[in-house]
Amino acid sequence: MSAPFYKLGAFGDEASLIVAFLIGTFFGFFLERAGFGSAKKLVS
Amino acid sequence: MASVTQNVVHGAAAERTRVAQPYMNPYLAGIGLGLVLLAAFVLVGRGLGASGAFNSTIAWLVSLVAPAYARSNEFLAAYLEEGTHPLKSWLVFEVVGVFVGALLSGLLAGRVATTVEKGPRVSVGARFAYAFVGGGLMAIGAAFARGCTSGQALTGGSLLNLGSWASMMCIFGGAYAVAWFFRRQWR
Repeated sequence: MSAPFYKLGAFGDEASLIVAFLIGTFFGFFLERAGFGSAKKLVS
Repeated sequence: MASVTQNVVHGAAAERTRVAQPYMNPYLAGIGLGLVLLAAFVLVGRGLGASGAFNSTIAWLVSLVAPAYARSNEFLAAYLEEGTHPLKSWLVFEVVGVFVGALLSGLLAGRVATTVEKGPRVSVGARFAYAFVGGGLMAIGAAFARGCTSGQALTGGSLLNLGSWASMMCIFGGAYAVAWFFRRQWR
């Protein structure tokens, strides 16, 4: 199996934007879990 | 008696939902972030970023007010493509997802609140001013470095780019160097 899937034509431009949203959702989720939602937590 | 016990149990459950859950172990969160980055590479062939989305937004806003200037400016023109809306970009959609994901995590952990986080001796106005100036400096630095902590440190760093590692060291070094002067802001 070869990757990246988008560049190999597995899905198109529009779908890649949905993937971007989903990737971003997980990115934001883990950032908040780590404490990036709180300046106080970051400087403590 | 049963109803009293039930009330106590329900009361305790309600109390639990109000108290914010502790943050995730930072090492586990780091592994999670790494896996998200890996997924981005495998699915789309690109890494994570943040400042690029704001560049697209700025380019779009300038193009609305002064279209000729936006097209003639080399930095802004790079984000303006004929026939495509500037906001229809991968990073803009990713950053919208970041807001949604962070909100979701905060809601699930009971951490969402309307508040201004600041030290006891700093006014709300001063806190906003510090945040605005700090954010502005970070944006200027990201423009110089051609990427922020997400694009350079996280994505470029994972690809072992020397320039990205230099950026990351300078970001952390710079932060530690000035932290001493601003520590009273939080005490």
